[in-house]
This record gives sequence, C-alpha cells and structure tokens, in this order.
Amino acid sequence: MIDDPQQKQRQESGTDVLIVDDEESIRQGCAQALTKSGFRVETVRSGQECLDFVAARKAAVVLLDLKMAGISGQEVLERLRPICPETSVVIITGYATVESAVQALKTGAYDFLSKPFTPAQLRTVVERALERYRLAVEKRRLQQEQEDLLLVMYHDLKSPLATVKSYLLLLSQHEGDKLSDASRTRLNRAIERTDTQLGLIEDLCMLSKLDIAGPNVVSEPVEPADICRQVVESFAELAAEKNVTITCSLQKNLPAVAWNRDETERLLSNLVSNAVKYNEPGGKVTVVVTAEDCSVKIVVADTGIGMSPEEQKRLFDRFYRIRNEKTRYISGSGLGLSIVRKIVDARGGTLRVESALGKGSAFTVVLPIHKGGSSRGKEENSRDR
Amino acid sequence: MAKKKILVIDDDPDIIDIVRASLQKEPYDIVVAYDGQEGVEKARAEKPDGIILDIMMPNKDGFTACHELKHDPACKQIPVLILTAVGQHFATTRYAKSQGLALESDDYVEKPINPQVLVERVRELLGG
Repeated sequence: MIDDPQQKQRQESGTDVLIVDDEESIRQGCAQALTKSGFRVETVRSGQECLDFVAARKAAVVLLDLKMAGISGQEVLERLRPICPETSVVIITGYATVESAVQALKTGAYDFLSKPFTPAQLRTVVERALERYRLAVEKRRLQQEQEDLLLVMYHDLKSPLATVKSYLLLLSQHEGDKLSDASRTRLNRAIERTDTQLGLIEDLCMLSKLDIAGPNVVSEPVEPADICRQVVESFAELAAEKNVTITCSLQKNLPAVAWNRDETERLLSNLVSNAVKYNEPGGKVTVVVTAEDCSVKIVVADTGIGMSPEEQKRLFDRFYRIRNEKTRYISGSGLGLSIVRKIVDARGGTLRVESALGKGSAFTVVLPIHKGGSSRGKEENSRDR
Repeated sequence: MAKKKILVIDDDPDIIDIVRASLQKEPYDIVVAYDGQEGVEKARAEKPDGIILDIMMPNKDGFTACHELKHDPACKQIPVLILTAVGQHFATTRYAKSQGLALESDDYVEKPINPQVLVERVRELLGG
C-alpha cells in the first residue's frame, strides 16, 4: 500500500529477460549468451510457468517460444498484456512461419527471432526490447503524474459547485413550498445553470483524461444491449419533457464486446442526448444496434433540426456548437461529440454522420468487438520494421 | 429503541451541514470527523451503525480509511457509504492503478447531494 519508489524500481528491473521455451537447449543457449552480456536472466519451461512468474515478479523482456505444449505462445502473449502492458515480448519462432510471427506482432509482440539465430542477433534484439520497455515505463509514470494532477483539478473545480447545488436542492426540497412561484422558478433556474456547469466540468475532464491516457486500457466484457436500454431509459424524462419519442431496436443475441463500460455509456448517452435536445416537439429518436462480422453497429437517428454541410464540417471541433434561433435555449458544453470521436478513434472504430437541414441527423458508429483497436496496440503495430 | 448512530467523515464543513440537514427528520445521531485519520479513530471509538465517507481528504484519503476499516475485525461489519465529488470511474481507475486498492465500500453516492436520495440510500445502508 505504501509507495516505496526504491522497491518499485527493484521490482521493475528485477529480471531483464525471461526465457520461455520448452526446449532445454534453447533455454540454456539464450541464457548463456545473455548472462555473458550482463543481462539478468531467468528461464521457465512453459506458458503457465511464464504467467505465474510475471504475476509474482516483473520481467522487462519476455523471450517467448510460440510452439509449446500446454498454453500456446500466442495465448500467453494475449494474457500477458493486461498483467504487464510495458513488458516487451520477443517471439522465438522455429518454423520461420512468417504468418504466426505476423499474428503475434499484431497482438502486441515487439519483435521476433527465427531459429536459428546467433548470440549477436539475440543480444541486439534484446537490447532494443529492453530500451523500449524502459521508455514504456517512463511514459506510464509521466501519464500517471498528469492523471493525478487532472484528478486534483477535477475535484477542485467540481467540489464548490457540487456544494452549491446541494444547498440549492436542500432549499428546494425542504423550503420550496414556502417560496412564491416566481422565487421557485428562479431557484430551479439556478439549479439548471449549476447542472450545465457541472456537465462542462465532467466533459472537459473526460476529454483531458482521454488525451492523457488514451482510452481506458482496461477492457471488460460489456453487453451493448444492456447499456443501450439503460442509456435510453435515462433520457426518458427529458424526452417526455420535449415531447420526443425514443425507440430502441436491438438485434437479438448481440455478442458481448470487449469495450469499457464507462466509455460505451458516455458515447451512447452523448449521441442520444444530442438526438433528443436538437429535436422538434413530436419528433422521434431511434437507436438501432446490430452485430456485423467482427463489429457492432450503433445508429442513433433523429427527426430533429438537422445540420447544413458547413455545420457538419465543424461538428467534431471542440467547443463548437450550432447557434441559431432553434438552438438558443439548448444547453451543452460543445464537447460531447469530440468525446465520441475520441473514444471511437481510440477503439479503432468508425463514425459517420448523415444530416439534412430540417429533416434530422443520423450518427453511425461501428466498433470492433475485440480490443485489438486499443491505441497502445496500434501504436506498436504501426512501428516501422 | 435507541437511535442509530452515523459517522460522517468529510473535510468540508458545508458538506457536513448539508448531510445533517438532509437527515434531520431521520432518527439518527450524527457524529463527525474532518479527515480520514480522525475518521478511522472515531469509528473505532464510537462504533457507529453506518459511515458516510468522503474520498479526497487530508491526513488519509477515503479509500485508505475504508480499507483500514474493512480490515479491522472490530469495524469491518459497519456499512460504509462513499460520498464524493469524484465520479466512480475516475476514482476507482486511479486508485486501482496506483495502490491496488479495490473499492470496498457498500455504496457510492456522487456529489452534489440530492437530500431525498441521500435519505433513501442511508436507510438502505442501515438495512431499513
């Protein structure tokens, strides 16, 4: 619980290279060559032993045989990522099969070595992998520092306003019946204005968080249907107030997807919120979710005020809000769609808008089901080879 | 029947005032502490029936305080409601990363405080 930087340092640099191979000759050969060059080396004989090792102690570089009995190298690679995202994995492939090596690189391996290789080749690859590990650890430390600062800023911006709104709600609920109608209306306006400001703070901090850390690296199984129902439900009151009907059409047996719950909720609620707010009385909002091959498609369409081609161009700019006589009384931060775009891009998805003035708008989001599109993965895969 | 006792731990006196006023018609005795360290000590001494706990406080943050209480045989059965301005996703991801502290509270309510909602959640926390 206590952060001891020295202890952390030791843990992080305890083992330079972990060799994972079921062939004793490879283990010994690699270990000898690397130990001679001054690397701290450990060896294990199977995928399971490798996972047990990194769960207990960190390893900067993992030399991983793809072809092993028991858990395959490919599976080890996939299970290593969430446990130690900074570790550089170098694949050892005996069959010189480019295909499996490419597959491994796609899922986050840093480099590969085809057998047979010389001690010099091994050293070069390990040195580079170790350097990449150090940079990744440093980058994470800086990100953590920025995130900590952001958390303090978020708290300090929000707290006073949250206190103000709490007092206003207390007044309204405990003394509201003693006020004149006009005073009660003014009190409600004060509450609404603090809500808008609180929304702006949430949006700004969400966007800054995405800027700093990329998307939440933690993916979890998410049921898109559940989230859709929940988000639509949360807008029922606002929709009724604006005399807008929301219908939700969810394909049966939608697959669970490896996204992040909070981000998915935010993405959907920003789209649905716009569709309701920029609508006409008697208008409709439809949310349609369907599964495609390896992705899930979400369409949020409305029969609202629509946008001109010029407005559509600026739609995703930060703080851009469409201003005309129809939008004068609509509140918002102008950050909602920037957040949507950021989340979609980070997850490797696509976002499309179709709109016509006076007819309405439709936003189509297609997100891959698996976490393959995370920014970390992309960054490493696009590395020049 | 004896009144139930609630310990409110928050460094902002205004929040303590709002919590008191929100719960004024409920049959509770309210005791207060103004930081995490004082809060843990008061919990041990006062044996409250429930705790309302802020997160970002001087002298021990709320997650650490919650962790200590939940691992203290004398206090671990006391239900804890986290009451904070920090959104749950923000707080848990940050703390999970840096301290390995899972969220161990029994309920989580975000500020601003809606007095009616707080009354309901505290009733639930204390088991009706």
